[in-house]
Amino acid sequence: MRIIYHCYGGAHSSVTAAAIHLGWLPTDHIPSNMELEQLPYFDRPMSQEHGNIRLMGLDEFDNEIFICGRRNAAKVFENLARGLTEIYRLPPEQFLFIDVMPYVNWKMVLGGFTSRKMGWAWFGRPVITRGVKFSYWKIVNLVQRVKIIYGYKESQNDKKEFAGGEA
Amino acid sequence: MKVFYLCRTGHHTSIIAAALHLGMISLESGDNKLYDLKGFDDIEFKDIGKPFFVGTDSFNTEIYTVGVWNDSQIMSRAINDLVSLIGLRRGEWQVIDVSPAVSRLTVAGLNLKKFRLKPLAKALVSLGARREIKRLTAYLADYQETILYH
Repeated sequence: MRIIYHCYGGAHSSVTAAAIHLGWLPTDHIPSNMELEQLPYFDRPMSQEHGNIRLMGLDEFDNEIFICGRRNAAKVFENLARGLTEIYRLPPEQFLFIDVMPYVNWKMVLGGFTSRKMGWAWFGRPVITRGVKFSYWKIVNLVQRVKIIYGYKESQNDKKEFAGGEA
Repeated sequence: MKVFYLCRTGHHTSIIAAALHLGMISLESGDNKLYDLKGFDDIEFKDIGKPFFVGTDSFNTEIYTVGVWNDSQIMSRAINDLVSLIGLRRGEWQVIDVSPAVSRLTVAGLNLKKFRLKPLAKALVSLGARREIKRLTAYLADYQETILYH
């Protein structure tokens, strides 16, 4: 399965969600500024790169975890992706799209705009990390729901297939 | 091969581009046949983004249109990356953004459509389409070699 976390710019909330999913960030305490800033793509992508789908890594269930910035076109992006899977006759469960925007707060918006759009990373980055920390538990909760619902289901299917193969 | 024409709604400029590609209309035939084209000006705003199948050309290339509002560059990248993820190789699809050919009259017509002023919207869309046919004929000439002789 391919899980795509998407948000406005693909630079903060989706990167954080993907990193939590991959176990790169803790789920028992709030990470430090350093831990957040060291994440690949965290506060890095520019507006010219919006729309690119980037692989972050493989989770413990062998799901591929991606991030994407799609500005305010969440619905268009999801319609497009679902349409393409239909055209190429792929099973719809092969792609999962998770919108992380509901967990974005005003600090992340302000920090993201000043850092990425204005180029004032010295000002924006500390504001963003505060914003990410503020919404951290909500994002952890989202990722854990995704892993419980889809990761577990996938692994159960694998087990069933394995059991069927043995019989 | 599949070709995806992108415009704001996927049911106006891109349908004209697809129809020109498929030979359903031409610069000479003008805008008389536009409303006979399947899907032209027939939109559900909630479905924007979903690819719409228009037809297959003589080279067996499948032609689709996609609505992307103002985010044509972002969605072009997204289509390219998603299709690569699906496992296709370069040359098995092409994304053509026809947004530069969109007329302001069409945009105005679409805005009126949102306010349910349908007769006025239709008149503006027709006027816009007339201009777009000319622009698209020139615009698509640049792509003809890559699409037809892939």
